[in-house]
Amino acid sequence: MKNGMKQALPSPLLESSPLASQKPEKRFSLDLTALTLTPLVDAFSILVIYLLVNTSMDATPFQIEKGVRLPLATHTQAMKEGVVLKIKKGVYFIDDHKISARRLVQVLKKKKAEKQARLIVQADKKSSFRVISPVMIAGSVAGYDTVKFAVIQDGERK
Amino acid sequence: MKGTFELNLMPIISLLAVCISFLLLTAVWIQVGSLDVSQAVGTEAKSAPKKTLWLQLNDLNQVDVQVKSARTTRSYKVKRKKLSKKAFLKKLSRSVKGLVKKNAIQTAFILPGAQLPYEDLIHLMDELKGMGIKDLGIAPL
Repeated sequence: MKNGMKQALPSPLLESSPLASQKPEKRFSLDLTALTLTPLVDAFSILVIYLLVNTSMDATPFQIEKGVRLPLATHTQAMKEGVVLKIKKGVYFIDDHKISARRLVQVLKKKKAEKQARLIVQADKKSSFRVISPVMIAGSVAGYDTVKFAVIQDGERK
Repeated sequence: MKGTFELNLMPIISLLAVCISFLLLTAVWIQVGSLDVSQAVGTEAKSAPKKTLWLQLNDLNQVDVQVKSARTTRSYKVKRKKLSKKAFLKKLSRSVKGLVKKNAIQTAFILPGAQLPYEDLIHLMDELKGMGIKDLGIAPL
């Protein structure tokens, strides 16, 4: 030995000792750089195409009144613009103005003169025919030959 | 010399995500349609009257069905008995469908009672439209 120093030999039990420092094990780590984004782009593209094809952008000509649940029907026709007469709890509304049953004919005649050719009735499905009937009479008197009942298109029953 | 490159997909993903959000927010999910009813306005019809179907109902316990022609009137009654509303409407629909086919009816009138729910009236109208009735009328009270 150089300089007269003795070098201690490593103990053969050192590795098995619990006090011995162990090297950290390699754990699984997510390598972000290797994440393939192509399937995600594909899925997004399919979703965009599906939404573009299957959803309609047509705006309804009127807002469905809060608290009014329209009945469902399958053999419907497309809604067009016209005078919307809303019936809420037995009270009639045209253009958000409360109209009494007596004044219905007068108001509808005025609307007819303004070239609003269609009469659209929007009523809750639980209403009775008692409140619908005056509208039909007033519509006939005012000169509307067709009354359109607003419904929600039900695709399931087709 | 070999060169490797990788297309940056993050802007494309962002763009598509914005598109999806926009489409989801602006799409109209509830489709509103209409059921049309012809009202008697104008002069009397000059053509020979064909067979017509008349349905009279006060509530959904019994429906009086009539097939009227220029000379004859045939009456039928469809009773609910202990059927549920849905089952009765199906039964009524079947009965009326047979009459409509047999008599080649294209015009129908409904005479609803004051208490008849609007939902049931619309259901009946919808069924009649589905049977091929072209002219549908409702008699007011």
